Amino acid sequence: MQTGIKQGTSPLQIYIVGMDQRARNMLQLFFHHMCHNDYVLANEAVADISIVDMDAVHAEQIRQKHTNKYPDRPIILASLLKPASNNDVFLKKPIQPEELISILNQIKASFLEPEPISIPQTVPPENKHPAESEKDIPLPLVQTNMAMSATALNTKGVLVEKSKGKHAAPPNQSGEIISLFPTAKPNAQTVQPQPKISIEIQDKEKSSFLYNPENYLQGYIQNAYQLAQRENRNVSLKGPWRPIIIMPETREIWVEQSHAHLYALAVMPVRGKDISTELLDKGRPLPEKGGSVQSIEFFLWKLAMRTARGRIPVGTDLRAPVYLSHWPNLSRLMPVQNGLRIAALWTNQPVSLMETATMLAIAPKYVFSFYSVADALGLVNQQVKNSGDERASPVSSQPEHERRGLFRKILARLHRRSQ
Amino acid sequence: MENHYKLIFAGPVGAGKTTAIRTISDISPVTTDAFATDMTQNIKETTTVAMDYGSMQLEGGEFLHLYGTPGQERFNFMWDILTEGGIGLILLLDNTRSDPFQDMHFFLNSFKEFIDSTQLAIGITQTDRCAAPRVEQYHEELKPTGLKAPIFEIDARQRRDVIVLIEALLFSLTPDLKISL
Repeated sequence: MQTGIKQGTSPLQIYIVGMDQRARNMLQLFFHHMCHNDYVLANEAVADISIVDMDAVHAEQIRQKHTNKYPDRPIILASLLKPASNNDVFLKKPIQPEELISILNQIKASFLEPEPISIPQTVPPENKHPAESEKDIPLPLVQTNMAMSATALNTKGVLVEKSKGKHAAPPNQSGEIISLFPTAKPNAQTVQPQPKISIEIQDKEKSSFLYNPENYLQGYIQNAYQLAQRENRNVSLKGPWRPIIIMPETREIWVEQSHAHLYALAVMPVRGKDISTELLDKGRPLPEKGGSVQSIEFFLWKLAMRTARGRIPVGTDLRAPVYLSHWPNLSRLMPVQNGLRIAALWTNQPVSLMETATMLAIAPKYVFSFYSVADALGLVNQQVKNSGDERASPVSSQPEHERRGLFRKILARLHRRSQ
Repeated sequence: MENHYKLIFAGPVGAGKTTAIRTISDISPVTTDAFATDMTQNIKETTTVAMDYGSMQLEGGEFLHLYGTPGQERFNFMWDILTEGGIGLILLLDNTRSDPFQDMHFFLNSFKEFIDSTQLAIGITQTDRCAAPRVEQYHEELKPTGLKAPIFEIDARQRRDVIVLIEALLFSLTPDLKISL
């Protein structure tokens, strides 16, 4: 038996075999943010347990080699299909968070109590209806007790700032984690009983992916812009910066300070400073000296990108579908990595933030970035359904794989010439 | 046998179809411009009387053919022929025209069947000369049609602008398209 985890408070160290860096990052993010570091990724030599992707190339040989090297180390075999004969613990892909956590907790418990663990066996696939055998992998019945929250996900998966004390998570709270992974839904068997997962996000961690625009210049600009639109008058915004004037009629912003200085200011909390807005008389000209004018959309988009830095506004629901009212004018806005893909997906169908990351196989930070900048322009919401949301992609007569292949070639060609 | 695919550029006279194709084509576009002899003369000296053609060679020897539809309405009969087998429609609208919304609806109706079976991306040109209508207003105008197409301001001479528009069209067709560029 490994020696890394002998106390209940120590994290279980996990070595991942056969998964690409993206999958590893996803698991790392999942363990870090959603499991409060009860589990951490570790290198091969020090790990307590290994997870082997049995769908990788030469997976069986790798597993065998790994087993020979670490005969006492528990191994979890992750695969789309259950291996025909193997005594190792099986984790069906797409990975269900509850199942992964349950298995890990059972193994963790086995370290603490040196009794053999018993992972409930599933009905052999050959005895099941084919469709059922693809879907139904019962979860081990394990109660998961994780550290409780300071900042956590509420019952709707909404990120809230203050939630202290120990309490049982609502039955569907783990769904927050599900969305990190591919789309399979837990069935009745897998949710009895639901793991009691409560997610703690410490202040330090919270700042890593949550922010409150109201605390920054971004929030003040947004509010001033709304006021200007409502009153249809120019608004002056004064604070720890040189004068800023917002012009709703032309949708422009005039700034006396250099843009570089303002964007640098974007990351500094300014709440509580002496900040004021003033409605200007109609017809009052802009100051004659200095300053520059630009599109407020461009300015806000860029400002929000700088302020958010891969985070999302407090109150954002990670699990709720995102409705994009329309495409941003992406040819005239600062590029956000994967922005075109995310916009296309959200325009086609409302998808939650974490599902978006999974579907597009991109890091959540890119989804968060796009969400934050689109939110700054008022283009996204999570409550109101837009007309036309149900319109699915047109059906092409071309075979799907052929079409995807063609599109990849076109994109590659376009980008090759761009370089 | 090599596969051939088509991308269609449509829009009113002077919207930048010929220029957009020239911007991304591997070859010098084949244009069938002629000196304008009708009302088009007021807008530009030459206009496309049959079609524009450009192409891009893709990996594996395949070709993406770029077709620009004739701007004059009297050549509308060409449109059905051109769109057959096309992967999507790039609609370019000139913001300096007297009623760009009317232009938009005209082309949406004309290419309705094609758009319904593929996808649409709209590029608004000449916004430096005429800022209104704004892109948001185009979206509002488009809303009743149920289409949620990408609408971008573009300069057809700028390769990046044309590429962004084509990319948006492709991702609209296959939102979960995975790429490794």
